[in-house]
Amino acid sequence: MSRRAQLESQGGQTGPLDIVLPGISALLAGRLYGFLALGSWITLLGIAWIRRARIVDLLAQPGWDGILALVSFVVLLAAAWLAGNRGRFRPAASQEAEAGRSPAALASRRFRRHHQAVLGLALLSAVTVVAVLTPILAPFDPDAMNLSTGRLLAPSAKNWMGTDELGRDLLSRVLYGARISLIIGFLAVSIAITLGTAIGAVAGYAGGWVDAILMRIVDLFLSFPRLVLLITVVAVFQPSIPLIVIVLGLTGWMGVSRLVRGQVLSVREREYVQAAHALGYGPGRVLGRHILPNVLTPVIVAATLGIGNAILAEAALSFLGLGVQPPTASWGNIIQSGGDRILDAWWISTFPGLAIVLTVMSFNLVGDGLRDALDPRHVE
Amino acid sequence: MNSTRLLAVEDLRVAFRGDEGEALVVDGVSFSVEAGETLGIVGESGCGKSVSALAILGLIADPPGRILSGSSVRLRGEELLAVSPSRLRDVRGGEIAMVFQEPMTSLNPVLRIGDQVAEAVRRHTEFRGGAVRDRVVALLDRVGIPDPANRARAWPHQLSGGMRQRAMIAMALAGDPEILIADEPTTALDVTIQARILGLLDELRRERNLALVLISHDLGVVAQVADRVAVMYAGRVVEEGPSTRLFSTPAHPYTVGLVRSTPDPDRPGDRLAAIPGSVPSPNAWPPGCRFHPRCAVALDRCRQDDPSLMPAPATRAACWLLEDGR
Repeated sequence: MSRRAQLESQGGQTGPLDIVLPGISALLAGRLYGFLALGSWITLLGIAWIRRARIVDLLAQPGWDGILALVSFVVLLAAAWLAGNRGRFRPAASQEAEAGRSPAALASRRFRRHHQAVLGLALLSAVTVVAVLTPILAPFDPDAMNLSTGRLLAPSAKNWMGTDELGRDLLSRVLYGARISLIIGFLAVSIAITLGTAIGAVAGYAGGWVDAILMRIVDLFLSFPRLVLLITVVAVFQPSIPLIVIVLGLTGWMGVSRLVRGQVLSVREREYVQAAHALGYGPGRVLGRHILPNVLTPVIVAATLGIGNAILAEAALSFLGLGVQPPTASWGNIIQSGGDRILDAWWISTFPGLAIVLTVMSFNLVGDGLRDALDPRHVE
Repeated sequence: MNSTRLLAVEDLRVAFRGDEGEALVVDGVSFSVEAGETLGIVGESGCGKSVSALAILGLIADPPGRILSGSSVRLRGEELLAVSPSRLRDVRGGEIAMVFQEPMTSLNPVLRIGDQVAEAVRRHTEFRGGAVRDRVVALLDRVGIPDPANRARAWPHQLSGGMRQRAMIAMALAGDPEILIADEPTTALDVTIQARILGLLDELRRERNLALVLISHDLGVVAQVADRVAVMYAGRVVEEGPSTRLFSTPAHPYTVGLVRSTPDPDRPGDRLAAIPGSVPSPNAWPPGCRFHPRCAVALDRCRQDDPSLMPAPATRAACWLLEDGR
């Protein structure tokens, strides 16, 4: 039995390593929920260690640490649930080879062979880990000013990315900015995907006048220039992170809903959907269990690409001074603050700019890789 | 009318709206089937067989399709064309189940076989929890899937066409229906598998006293298992009768043509007699008897008057020759 086969045959079982960190043997067997479990454990323990607090206390703590801990905790629970309940007819590990690979496993293998996508995922993981561990990684307090001797210092061994005009360490600010950008990107896209999928699915499945009305609403939203709408809304209300997330989410769902609608229109004519109707399943079940899972592939790809766009939109908004408000660091407002000194203090705008390029590019690479891996017409 | 019949379709008319106006794809079809009986429905492609079957379960998409008033589909006397949507959903799979033509595309590719059968079991029975699983394995075993406990975990793409069709039949049986409509169940399979699937359907019919409606363009398939046969042409039933007598002494020139165009293993080397021409378009059914443009023995009357079913020596057929010959 090869090493790999051994690992696979242990998939889903609890090994001695799980005493240290639950989920690790599932990860070794190449299971996604193992990755989730391990990642969320590391995040939780990391925050707890940084804050010198018990995990239980962390969950109730206000602010980003508390939110992050809470999200990790939920992900951990989800991963544990996945590990325990992997479908009624999930084979026991030793029978996996006989029952064969699931469509997801096949796609995962294709993804792992897609070098650019793996590179993108590695970069993204790095950015995510950095964002999570920022409090330990950041060499200085991002808001600590040094107006006397520390202003506009060029990159050096002490300040790797230099300092800004208030003498704050740029590296620390860019690291903290990563958290803001990623959180805004993820949350905004979550809203957009949920809304877009729901509206697109209902429009495509119901058809007729429901479809016509919903698609005209999509046209209406599409006819607003996104940035102008953002500027208007943010100018009317106080700019804040929740507001930016909501506005980005509410202006980003139309593409997804058109995509989902088109897919639903095609999938609902498939024979297995007709067979589901012939078995007496109601419309909710047919849509939710037999149509939607078969249209999610392009949605996953769109979500990945969408996060990149949301990060760009947040940066643009912050650059215009309407996004994340100083002193909170975001990539966009750091670039903005260095904009009028680009010739004498080039580092202020350059480093957060590079961070945006790197992150958005990673999301795009992963998105392309996912599209290729999930395409059922893909020939190996 | 007689309300004790298990399933009675009367004067079913289905129209589809298209670019060239509304086309009557099924035009006045009547048939019935009793428990434990196999009704075969045969005809060329496009004659309205499948549309009739879908109409029974209310599966015609509206728009573009429409079941015209005056049509009737009765299950033990209950008018299915008039019941509430929720009652209709209980009928589907619970009392009348359907097996489709393409086993390759009739299973959801993202769900395991066992989960798909389990879903049907939960929908139509009181089984829950572990009992569902046992029931699924029993059903898969019953339809002849070897090693059912493990095959339940397989994905559709891992099964052969014959196995998928067996899984489809298991799903159809999950709700313990009284009527099973099989729409070209063996067309996509190769010949040896065809015979086994037909054998399985026939076995299930006897075992469960099922009423089986077998739709096929293949006379051989229908002759093998059907007790009674309805021959459809251009949206109408042109001849119906007991299977053996219909194939030995067909009365309608179309049935005669169909029988003659099927190879006879006892007379190898014979030239097959093809029926000239093809099925007319539903947008432009010919006046009079719809078969007359292709009929070698058409009378003048066939061009104007539309015949209805009348007694023939062995069957009932819609042909003016029968009246004139009497």
